[in-house]
Amino acid sequence: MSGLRSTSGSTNGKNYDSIMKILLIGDSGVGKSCLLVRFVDDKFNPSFITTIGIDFKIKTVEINGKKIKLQLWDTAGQERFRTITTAYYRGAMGIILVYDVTDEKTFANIRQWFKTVTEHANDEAQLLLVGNKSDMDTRAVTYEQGEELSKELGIPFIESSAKNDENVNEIFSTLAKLIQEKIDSNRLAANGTGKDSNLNINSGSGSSSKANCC
Amino acid sequence: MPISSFSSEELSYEKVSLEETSGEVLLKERVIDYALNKSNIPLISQLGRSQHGFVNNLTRRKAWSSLLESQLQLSSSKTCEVADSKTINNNDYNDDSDDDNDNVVHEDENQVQLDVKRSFVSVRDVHVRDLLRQVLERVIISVLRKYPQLRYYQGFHDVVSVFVLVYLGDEILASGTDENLILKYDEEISLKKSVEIFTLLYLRDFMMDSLEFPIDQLNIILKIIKKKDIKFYNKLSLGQIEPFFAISSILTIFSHELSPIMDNTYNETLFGIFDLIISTQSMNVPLLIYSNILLGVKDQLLENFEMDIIHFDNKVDLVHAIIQKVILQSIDNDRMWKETMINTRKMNYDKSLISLNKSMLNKYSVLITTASGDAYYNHCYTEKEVMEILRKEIQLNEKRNIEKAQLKMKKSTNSPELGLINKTSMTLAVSLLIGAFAVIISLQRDNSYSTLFKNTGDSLNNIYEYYTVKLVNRSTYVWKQPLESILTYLKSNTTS
Ligand SMILES: Nc1nc2c(ncn2[C@@H]2O[C@H](COP(=O)(O)OP(=O)(O)OP(=O)(O)O)[C@@H](O)[C@H]2O)c(=O)[nH]1
Ligand SMILES: [Mg+2]
Repeated sequence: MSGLRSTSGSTNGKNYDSIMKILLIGDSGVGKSCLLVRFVDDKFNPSFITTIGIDFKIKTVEINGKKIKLQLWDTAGQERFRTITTAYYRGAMGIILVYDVTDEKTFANIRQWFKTVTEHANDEAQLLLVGNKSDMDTRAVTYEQGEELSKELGIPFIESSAKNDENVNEIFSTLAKLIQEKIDSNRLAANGTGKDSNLNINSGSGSSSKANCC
Repeated sequence: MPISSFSSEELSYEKVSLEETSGEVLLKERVIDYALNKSNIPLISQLGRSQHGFVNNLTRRKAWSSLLESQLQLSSSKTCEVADSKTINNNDYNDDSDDDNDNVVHEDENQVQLDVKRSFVSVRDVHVRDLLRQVLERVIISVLRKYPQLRYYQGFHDVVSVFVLVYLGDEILASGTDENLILKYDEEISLKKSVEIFTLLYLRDFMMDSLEFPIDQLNIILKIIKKKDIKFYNKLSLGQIEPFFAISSILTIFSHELSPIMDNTYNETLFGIFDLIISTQSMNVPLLIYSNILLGVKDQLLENFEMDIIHFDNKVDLVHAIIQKVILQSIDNDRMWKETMINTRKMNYDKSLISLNKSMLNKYSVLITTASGDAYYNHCYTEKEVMEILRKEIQLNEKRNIEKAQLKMKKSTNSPELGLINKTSMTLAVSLLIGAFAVIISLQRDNSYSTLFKNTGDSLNNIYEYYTVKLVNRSTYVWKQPLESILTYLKSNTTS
C-alpha cells in the first residue's frame, strides 16, 4: 500500500536516510515470526520454526521519499526467555506487542508485556498493539476489545493476518511513520542545528534527544 | 592435547580416519558392530569420538543406547555394572510405569504442542512429517510426565527431534505413503529410554525454572575465547556483553541451526556432534564447538564489526547481529565444520580449558557432575544418585531466582522509607528478618507452606542460610528489604 517493501536492505554503504530499531514481543505462538517473514520475504509458512532467544532481520523501506533501514528483532515468547530478550529492549525505537485474536490468554498477557516494556525500554519508544490471525473464524477477542485495551494503554492498534497478508505492511509503516514524527518533533524542540541530514541512532539509550550527536 | 594414557591410541586412530574413503567408513561400521556385539563400552566410546562418529543411524542408535544405558542405570536394579547390550531388554525398563504421574498433565504441555506443530519443517512429505511429529510429541510428553519437576524449554523439541530421526527416521522415511504403518514398539521404547537418560544427564541444567544455569554455561564460551585469543576477545568487546547470541545453539545443541534432515537427507554433521557428546559423556562439547566456530570465522567477524559499528545502537545489538550473520553464512560450509570438529576433538582433552571455568557453575551442573567429560570412559550413575542431584540443583536454582528478583528490586525501588532503613543499624535488619520468618512460619502452620514451596522441603532452610550468610557479609541491599522480597516471592508462587 504505502510503497513499503520496495527495497531490500544491502549491508554496506550508507544507502539509507535513517535507521530504526524495532522489536516484536508477545506470547509464544501468536505469530510474531510469521508477521516478520511475511513483511520481509512476503511468504507464509504455516509451520515456520519456533524462535529460540532472539533473531535479527533487516529490511529497508521507503517512507515519504526517505529510505529507512529497519532493524527488526524477533523474540521468543516463552516466559523463561524474558531474561534474555529484555537485554535487547535497550535503544528500541518501536515495540510491537502482538497477541492472537483466537486466544484470550495471549490477549490478557499483553498487560504483562506492557509492564515489561515500561521496565526495560526507553520512555521514548513508540508502542503498537497488534491482534494477529484475524483471518480465523475461531476468534475469541473482538476488535472492540482490542481497541479498548489500546486506548487504555494509550497506544495505536491494528488487527492483522500474516496468513492472508492483511495489514502486515501497515503495522510496520504505521510504526515507522510514528517514530519518524517523534524524531522530527524532537529535532524541532531541540536546538535547531542545521544538520538534519542523517538520523543518528548512536545517541545512546536513555537520552531523549535522538538528534545528531557524537 | 590428550593427557591420558590412551592418548597414542586416540591419535593414531584419528590419523587413519582422516583419510576419507568409503572403504574406511565401511570398515569402521564393522568395527562398531564388533564392539557392540562384545558390549565393549570403552571401544564403542572410542569409536564415537573419532571422525565419522557412529557412521550411520543403524549402528548409531545401538551405540547411543549402549553408551547411555552404561551411564545411567534406570531400571530398578541398583547396581551399576557396565550394561551388556545383548542382555539389555526393555522388560526391565518400565515405560508404562506404574507411577501415577504418567496420566497427570505436565504444566508445559501447551508449549510442547505449539513447538511440535513447528517441528520437522524441512520434511516435505506431509504424511511422513505427521508421523515424525506424533512420535516427537509422545516422547517429549512421556519424559515430562515421568519427571514433573523438569520444566520444558523451547528448543528441547529440537534436541528430541534428532533422537527421533536416529531411532525411527529410517523406518518412517521408508514408509512413504503407507498409511497403516505401525512402528516397531521396541524401537520406540529404546528411543524414549535414550531421550530420558540424555535429558537427565546432559540437559538437566536447561530444564530448571529459569535460564540462569544455561546462561552460566554460555559465559564459558567467552572464557574459552578469551583464553585462546585475547586480542580477538577485546576487539569484539566480548568482555562487555552477555553471550546471549549463543543461547539457541547451546540449548538445542545446534539442532536449531543445523536442520537434522533436509530433502530426506540426514545431517551427518549434527549427528556427529551428538556422537561426540555421548561418547565422551561431555556437555563441554557444544561450548567448545561454538567457541571454535567463532574463532574460525574471526576475520569475517572483525571485518563486519568495523563495517557495522556505526549502524547499531549498542554493542549487544552489533555483536549479536554480526555473529548471527556470519554464522548463517558458514553454517552449511562442510570445511568449516570439519575443521571445527577436529579442533573440538583436540580441545576436548584439554582439561585446563574447562576446569578453569568450573567456579562459574553451580556445583550440580551437568558440566561438573553427570556430563563433565571427566571420566575417560563413561561413569555410571544410579537413578537414585541422579534424582538426588536433580533435586539439589532445582533447589539451588530457586535460590538463584530469589537472588535475581532481589537484585532487580534493588534497582527499581529506591523509596525514601527504604533509604531510611539503609542508615539504621543491624538490629533493624535482623528484626525485619525475624518478621519475614514469622510470616513463613505462620504460613507453614496453616499448611499453605507446602503449596508455596512445591517440592523442596527445606526451602525454609535455604532462605535462612542465604540470609544469614548475606547478613554476615553485611551486603547492604539484602537486609534493606528482606521482608519485601520474600513476600514478593511468596506472592508470585501462590499466584502462579
Ligand atoms: N491462521 C493464521 N495462523 C497464523 C497466523 N500467523 C501465525 N499463524 C500460525 O501460528 C503459528 C505460530 O506462529 P509464529 O510466528 O511461529 O509464532 P511466534 O509468535 O513467533 O512464536 P514464538 O517463536 O514461539 O514466540 C504458526 O505456525 C502459524 O501456523 C495468521 O495470521 N493466521
Ligand atoms: Mg517466533
